[in-house]
Amino acid sequence: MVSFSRSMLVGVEKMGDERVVLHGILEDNLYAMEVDVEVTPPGYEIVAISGRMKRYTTSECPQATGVLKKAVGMKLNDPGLASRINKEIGRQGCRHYAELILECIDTFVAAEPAMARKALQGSGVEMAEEAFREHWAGRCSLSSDRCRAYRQQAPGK
Amino acid sequence: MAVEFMRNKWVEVVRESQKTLRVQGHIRDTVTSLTMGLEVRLPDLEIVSADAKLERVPYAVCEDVDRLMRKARGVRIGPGLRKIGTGIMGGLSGCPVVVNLFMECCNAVILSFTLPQLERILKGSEEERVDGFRQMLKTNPRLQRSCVAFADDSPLMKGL
Repeated sequence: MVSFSRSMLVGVEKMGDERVVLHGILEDNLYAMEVDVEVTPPGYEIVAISGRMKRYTTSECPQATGVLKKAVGMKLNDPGLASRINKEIGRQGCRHYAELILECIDTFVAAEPAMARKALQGSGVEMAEEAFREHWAGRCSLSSDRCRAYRQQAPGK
Repeated sequence: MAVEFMRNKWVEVVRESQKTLRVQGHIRDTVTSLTMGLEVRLPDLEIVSADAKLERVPYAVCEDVDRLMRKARGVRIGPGLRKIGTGIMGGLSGCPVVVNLFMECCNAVILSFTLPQLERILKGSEEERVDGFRQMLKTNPRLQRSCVAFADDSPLMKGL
């Protein structure tokens, strides 16, 4: 029998070229909540955020929703972002909200190259996989040198 | 507008015996499908086995990232885990999706231990719940000031 389970679901919605909304939902045995995080791709800045706690453990927990606004102005390409969200949203609000926001951001980082590649294909531009990876690694600070797919320098060089 | 990219991540913890927990985690998104399993020894929380299976990857270069899981064997779930996980499975030869799911599986192990106590507290009356949380904060001082519910000005922290 499962003693504990947790699910997170994130949808990435593109609102034109200048805005992306990340819709996040968290459900586990104790907590249920959702957030909407609005990001502007050119500057990777969080420009708006809202949330709702649906199930929680103490009557104080819903106050954490008021703390979410501390994320406004944070930039996704800040190397200290995770630490800031854990401290300012997590410790001062709710760690589960912080984890959900970080999942939204992580999903966006995975989504951006996939959406860009799909857009290129949609406009008839065919690019080999390796060429696209190199192009994306050079173009996007969020992905560059993040993993083996987007390393800017080949191993051994 | 339509959602262009979707990620679904879920984890389950099963108590297999007095000495073992099994955690299974899944990430399914538009470009990746990854399943991960960890066997965790109790009470020291050492990962005694770790495996992963990939069914969908964004690029051919990602096809063997499941092999990164071998490095998780012998790791203890505890302080410093994020740094260890990123060190052994992340970075320029690694995969952030594998690290993400690994951390979620380990987090679920920790959360699974807090669940029984919280379930007992939540069954009580309002007054019993307040007492229950205060008792929990007394015996786990690290939880104090860990969130808004346990902030200095919270009624749950009164007398602590």
